[in-house]
Formats: sequence, structure tokens, C-alpha cells
Amino acid sequence: MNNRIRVLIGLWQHWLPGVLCFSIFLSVFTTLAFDLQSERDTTLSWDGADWVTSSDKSAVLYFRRKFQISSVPKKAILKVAGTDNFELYINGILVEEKLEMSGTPFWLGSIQDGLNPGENVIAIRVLARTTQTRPSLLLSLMLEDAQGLQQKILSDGQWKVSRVPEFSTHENADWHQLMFSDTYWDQVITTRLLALPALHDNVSAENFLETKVAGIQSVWHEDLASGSALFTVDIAQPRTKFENAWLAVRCDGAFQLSLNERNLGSFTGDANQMKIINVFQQLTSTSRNQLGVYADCNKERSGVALMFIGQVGDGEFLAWPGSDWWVTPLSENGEPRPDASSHPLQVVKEGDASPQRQITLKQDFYSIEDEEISYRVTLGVRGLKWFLFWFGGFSVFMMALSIPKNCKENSLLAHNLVFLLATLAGVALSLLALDARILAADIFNFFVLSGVVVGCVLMQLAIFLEFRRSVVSSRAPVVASERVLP
Amino acid sequence: MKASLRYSGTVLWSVVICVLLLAIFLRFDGLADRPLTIDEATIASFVEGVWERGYPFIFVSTIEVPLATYELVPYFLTFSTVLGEFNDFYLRLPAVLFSLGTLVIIFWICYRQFNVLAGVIASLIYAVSTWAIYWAQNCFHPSQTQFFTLLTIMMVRRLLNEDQVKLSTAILLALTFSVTYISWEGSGFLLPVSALMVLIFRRQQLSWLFQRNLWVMYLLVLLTLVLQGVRRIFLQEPHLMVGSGKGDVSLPQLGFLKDGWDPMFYLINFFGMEIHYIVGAIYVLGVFYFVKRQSLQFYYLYFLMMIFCLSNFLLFYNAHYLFFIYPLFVISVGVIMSWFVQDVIAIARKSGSAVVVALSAVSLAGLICLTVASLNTNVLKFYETGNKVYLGQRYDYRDGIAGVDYRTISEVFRRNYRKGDAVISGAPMPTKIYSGIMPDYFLQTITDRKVVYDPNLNEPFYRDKFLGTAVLRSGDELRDMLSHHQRVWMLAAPWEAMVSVVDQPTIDFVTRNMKVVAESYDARLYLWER
Repeated sequence: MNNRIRVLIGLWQHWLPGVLCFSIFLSVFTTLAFDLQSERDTTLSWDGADWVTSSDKSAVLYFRRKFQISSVPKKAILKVAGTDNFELYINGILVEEKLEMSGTPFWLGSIQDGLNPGENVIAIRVLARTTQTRPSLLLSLMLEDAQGLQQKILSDGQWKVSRVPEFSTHENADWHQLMFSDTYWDQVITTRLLALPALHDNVSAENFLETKVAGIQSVWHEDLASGSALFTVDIAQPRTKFENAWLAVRCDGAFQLSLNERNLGSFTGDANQMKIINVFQQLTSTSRNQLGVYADCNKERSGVALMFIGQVGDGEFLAWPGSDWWVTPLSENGEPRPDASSHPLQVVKEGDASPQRQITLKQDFYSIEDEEISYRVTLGVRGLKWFLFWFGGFSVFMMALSIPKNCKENSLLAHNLVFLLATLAGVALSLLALDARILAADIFNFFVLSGVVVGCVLMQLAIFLEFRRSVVSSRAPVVASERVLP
Repeated sequence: MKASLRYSGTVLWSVVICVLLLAIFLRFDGLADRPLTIDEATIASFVEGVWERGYPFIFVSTIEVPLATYELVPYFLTFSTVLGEFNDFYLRLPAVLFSLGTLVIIFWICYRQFNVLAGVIASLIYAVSTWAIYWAQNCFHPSQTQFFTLLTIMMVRRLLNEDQVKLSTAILLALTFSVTYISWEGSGFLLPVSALMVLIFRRQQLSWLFQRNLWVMYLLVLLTLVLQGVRRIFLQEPHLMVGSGKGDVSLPQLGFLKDGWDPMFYLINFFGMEIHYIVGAIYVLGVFYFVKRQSLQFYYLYFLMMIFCLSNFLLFYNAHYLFFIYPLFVISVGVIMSWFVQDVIAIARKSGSAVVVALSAVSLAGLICLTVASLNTNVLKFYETGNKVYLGQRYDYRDGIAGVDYRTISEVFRRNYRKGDAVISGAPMPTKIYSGIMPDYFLQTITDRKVVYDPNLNEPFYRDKFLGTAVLRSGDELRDMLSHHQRVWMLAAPWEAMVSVVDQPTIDFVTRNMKVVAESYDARLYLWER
């Protein structure tokens, strides 16, 4: 037995360096992708709001809260989360309807246009889609008037709740309208069983900027006839000039984003919400970066708002606001309209022609907060777990490969070399990626996923090839001859 | 030696019993939690017909409609409800038993034709699969069809191995196929695929096809097809109808000549299902064994051929249409994994080192655990990987997804109903089953579902295809109806699907003028009072 172990250790030494290096390399990436990423979730600042629900078990709950304001606020930032779907009404007007169990778990937008001086009401219908969850609501409304006075409306014990909208004393009032009487509704109960909704992956940085472009103005020229239009802007800077870059768009309709005429995706938005799209990865390292937005928005209501923002330092941003964009009105078949040529003056309103290029943006009171990455001990343990996972897997793989070879050193050394080369190539690629400052989350996931898939395929192929050569030939035929099917 | 064999036999059967107990627990746990779906309620209505007259039928308005598809399904349900009660639990009990029967057959096939490890892995996969559990808790046909399909395929395989086909084998095969076919006609694709399998595996001896005993089988199968087809045509009286239903295209069609052809549908919806990521990969990588070992080819190829037929010759696509051949996939994966395990262990053993064998065994056990865990959405939540809640594929079979709660709103309705109230129901059968009250109207302003005209009645209404309640075909008809009643209930379930059968102005009218009295998962109970 001792001799066997000694032989095994002897074999092991031939491929240990390669396997060790490659395992460390993969374990770092796996930890970053699966564990560190999950610890980097960004949480909203909910300003002290609690999840509220009802003591009754129900699939659907209706929530209401009336509140007074003295004047129309200058800013009114609303954050709402519900389990799972919800309909949000402000003073009887449907503002947001979340129907899918997907995407961002909350809604965030400005609602100052929907508020009136005096009494207002927020009404929300929350619908659970699974029997394991109870409909619950989390809400924070931050108001700021022209004098800078702030007011908070939070989900707390002051809210009313009902399983069904009971009959109102006002015959013509729906449950979401101000006139509706919720006298007979129950008081909500608060619950701390649910976690605060988190944003994942890349989205954190995008939403972080939400507050910083809240003052963005509509840029669609009022005289422009109805129809779609193509907006373009030349960012004559390479990606290396920026630490990060976003495009802020407010468009009540559909829009398509492209860079250097390469499609980056299609989006839909509404008048109350700003879409912040991270475009850093897609920027090229040359000075030719032309952003295009093909927009089919409802200009009657709120127009189109556009701004490219590049982060050049800590808290320092460069902005390409509406005046830098060119618009090309398009006809119904998507061709440029012959009666309207591309011109930047069609984009901006009078008086907006001299934008402030260098801007310093501050985080406002209603901002989203980035949760600190906690390099806890558990992260180290998780790293060790992944290392053992990869190292154990490759060790088994190498043993399985090396045994039928009858300890041929050349073969083992070749495998060792392959692993070392793979590690070096991986490290080199990573350095290149880091140099280009490609966002980490995607590259981590790409590495891990492709590594797992390719590793599985190679492992199985290699084992079977070895097995066929050394074992199958020495066995009795598998298929019995006297039967069509054994 | 004998003691060792006895010991290993004891361990084996202990493991098998544990798997069976696990399957029983997972299938009986929460069996009646989910309300009946619309398909289940339909079958349950036919069960009431068996109770009443001894054969499955319903009345659509004044027209008696005997069951002309899934003919065999209500009888098992009737038997169960006779033994117990007419409720969700006993209606679903046969499905659970069929599922457990399928599990036993899967183990038996693997054990007898491959090896015991394949049997354990395959039965474990089937036992924990969320998809298998979902259909085991559903009294519609899939669980039953699957059980009889597996019996049929087992008989086909046995037939292929007989150079001189026994009459008993031929008759048994005809019998199992017939029972499968009258559980669901879609299983008719077993015929062409079985024929293909015969051509492939008996290609050296095609004269084998013309044995006397096989002719007996051909005739019996043909008789089943003809009898079922004739009965179906006779029972489908040429009622005056608007719209179309699946019954109109129940025969195979050349799907690739039609606009709705989607050859990738089943591949995407089956292999793209979150619980099938890992087993799907094993199935695909197992093509190595498919090429090398003939014994796997039968099940592997059968599954692929069935997918091909369903993709190209059945114009209605639904992910659950694949469920009846699911055991073929499970068996293939179980066998592939067992061979892989055996091969790796064989290689490790050649080293003569216990350490190598132990390391291999541990990593392989990990692989099996990961595979089994990946099949249950309560254990391995693939949809949360990469921090995505929902990857875009179908998820309604997941444990805990509520579906449409006809039960809660029907019970509230039953408690508050007064004689003389008019009732509109979006799903008449569940309403009748759960409340015991026959609805009066069906609201469908957009002709999405088939509606029939009852010439026996002197009324200008079309009738819904479920129970024959009068169809309100516009907002004006709804308003007119309301003006004739003091109180009108509306059971709007499934609520989210109403937009496909009711136009938006009418929905707006309902939400504005009727009060929500009760609400549950995708279901609302409205009341209108004068």
C-alpha cells in the first residue's frame, strides 16, 4: 500500500504544478463570479421604510395611504417594491404596472407631476404569484419643495390594507381614487421577514447614477412633426479616457441603442422613468465612438431626454447633453425624411445652446447606496471551497488519464504543460481584459461558464478515449449476440 | 460469499424502497393544495357523468356530449372517487399511483436490461423531478398516458427480441397500445416510431414483420384506431359552431407545410427547462454510448424520434405533450450515468490504489447528487444562478406557483349566492364543481374559444363549449343582461387570460361598474347589484 501511494505521489508530481496553477486561477474567477458578486449587491436606501402586509393570508392585497402636501414638490422620488407583481396608482392614475416575475424587483421614478397641493393618495395592489409568499409592500416617497424642505412618506404602520376593495361610501370612487373611503380597511402589519430588494450585476452603477441626471431636460424640438427619429452623438474619446460611461434616456415609448452602427439593444421606457444604460464595455479604444438612439417616443407627453455621461474621476463626470446630439427625423418606413435634415439645433430648445460640459455631481438624499463589499472570512472559505472543487476534479481527471498510460512520464508532462499554458493564457487574457477595463461581472461569468462547459466536454472525451484504448478492448463484447437488443 | 450477496441485496432493496418512499412523499405532499386546473375540472365533470350513467358525458346546454377523447381517463378517477370522496385529493390519487407505477417500471427496465445502478439513478431522477411531481399531482391524462406508454414501449422491446413472436406478446402489445391510445390520441405517434424501430433493429430480417402472430396484432391495433376514429366522428355532431378547437386538428398533419411549424419547440422547451440543464447535457454527451452500445440505442432513439414526430406532425405545441415519453429520457440518462460511473471506477481500479478509487467514487457521487438535485426546483434553484430571478422559460410547474385559484372565489360565491342571482363564469366547469351552482353566462366578446349553437333552444345565444352556458358576445349583450337582473356575479378566472377573450372596453366596463368581492391567484369574484 505504501508503495502504491508512493507511486501515486510520484505520478502526481508530474502534473501537480499545472493542475495547481490552473485550479488556483479558476478558483479565483469562480469565487469572484459566484460569491463575491453576490456580496456586491447594491441595496436601495429605503430611508427606514419597512415591509408591510396584512395579518390575513391572501393572494392579493390592496394598500392605501393618504398624505398632505402644501405645494407641488420640486422633486418627488418614489421607490416601490412588492411581492410579486403590483399596480401603482397616484391619485387614481395608474403610474406603473409590474406584471412579470422578472427584472428589477422595484420601480423607481419621479412622480411630482402627479401630485397636487392638499390631500393625495398612493394606492397599490400587490399580487403574490406563489403560495409561499404573502403580498407585501415596501415604499419610500421622498418629497422636496422649492424651499428645500423635505418630507418622507414611508411604508409603515400608518397604511391601510384590504383583501378586497370594500364598497366605498362614495359610490363613484374606485379603491385607488382619493375620494374612496378606506375607513373599514385594516391597519397593516410590518414584517422584517423579507430582505430589502437588491440590484445585481451591472445594474448597481446604472441606478447609482439615477439621481445624478434627475435634472435632465427633454430635447425633442417642439416643432418636429410626429414620427420617429434617429439621434446621434460623436464621443471623440477612447474608452481608456473613462472609468465608466452611461447613457441616460427618458423616452415614453420604444428606443434602440447603437454604437458605431452596431445594435446594442432595444428598450422601452415611460415618461416618468429615466433609463440609465451602461455603455462602457461597448465603447471602443479608438476615438471613434458614435452613439445612436433610434427613438419612437411619444413626444406629445414628455419628449425625449438624452445625455451621455462619462466618469473621468472620483465624482468627476463629462456630460454630452442634448445640444451635442444630432437628430434625423425619420419617415414611417424608417428612412430619413426628405423635408428635414440632420441638425443639432432641432434638438435643443432656445436658450439651451451652451451646455455646461464639466459637471460635478453629488449624491442626493434619495440616492441608491452601494453596499460595501465585505471581505469576510467566509469569502476566503468560499475561495478555498472552489479551489478544492477544481483541484479535486482535475486530480481525479488526471489520475483517470494517467493510470491507463501506465505512468508514462511524457504523457503526464504533456498534460502538465497543457494546464500551465491554459493558466498562462487565462492570466494573459485577464490582464488584457483588466487593462481594457471591461466590466468584471461579465468576464467572470464568461470564464466560469465556458470553463465548466469546455472542461466537462474535454474530461468526458479524454476519459472515454483513454478508456476505449485500454479497457474496452480487453473486455467481453457488451452486446449479446443472440438478441437483437440485449 | 452468500452472506456478502445477501448483504448487497439487502442494501439494494433498501435503497430502492427509500427512493420509492421519497417519491411517495413528494407526490402526496400537498396533493390537494393546488386547485383543479381547467383541464382537470373538465375531466372531473366527465367523472360526474360516469357516476350518473356509467359512461363519461356532459351536457353542453341541452346537447349530451359523450367524451370522445381521453376516453379511459375518467374511469380510473371514478373508481378512486367511489372508494373515497369526490374531491381534489381522490381525483388526483390515480395520477399519483400511475406516477409511482411508472417509477417502478423505470427501475425494473433499467435493472433487468442494464444494471442496478442505472435503475437507482433513473428512478431517483424520476422521483425528484419537479416536472414529474407536477403531473403526478394533476388528474388530467399525462400521468396515465405516460404509464401505459412505458408499458407499450416495454412490450415493443420485448417483441423485437422474439425471433418467433408469441401470440401472447403480440396481443399484450396491442392491448397496451390500445389502452394508451384511448388515454390520449397523441400517443398514436408510438405506432410510426415503433415501426421505425422495427425497421432499424430488424433491418437484416424484414421477413420477420410478416409473421402470423404479428398480423393478429396489426389487426387489433387497426381495430382500435378505426373504432376510436369512427366513434369520435359520430359523436362530433355537426353542431353550428364558431371558432376552432384542438379536436379539429387531432389527426397528424404535415406541420412543416404550415405557418405555425416550429421544429425547435420541443427541443427548446424540454432541454431549456431549468430542471433539465444538467440531465440534458448528460443526455447529449451520452451520444458516445449511443454510438458504442446498442442496448441504449432503443430508448435513446425512441425519444428523439418521438420529438421529431411531435414537432413535425402535430400542429399544436405544448411542452406537456412530451411528458408521456419522459421515462425514455430518464432511462437513457440513468443508463448513461451508470455506465460512466462504472467506466471511471474501472479505470481507477486499474491503478490498484484505494486512494484513487476513493477519490473517483467521491467525485462521481458528487456528480450524481448534483444531477439529482438539479431536477428539483426546491433544491437547486437554477433560475437564481447569475442572480436572475426568471430566465424566460416556462416555470408554472414549479412547486409553490399558485396557478389559477378557482376554488377560493367559488367558495366565497357559494356562501353569498342568493336564489335568483345571475352568474357569469369564465370557467364554467370549475365554478360548477367547486360551488355546486350552474353558471348562466359565459363572457367572450372575442371569439377565441369554440362556441356552439343549440338548436333545441329558442334563444339567440351561442353556448360555451364547456357546459353550454349562454355566451355574451359583446359589451352591449352584457349590459342588456345586467339590466334584467337584480344581482349578477362574475367569476373572472383566469383573470389575466380574459384579455384574450374579452375586449378592453368591456373589461373596463366590468372593472368600473362591478365590485370585487373576493380575489385570489389570477381570479376575481365580481358582484353587480342594481
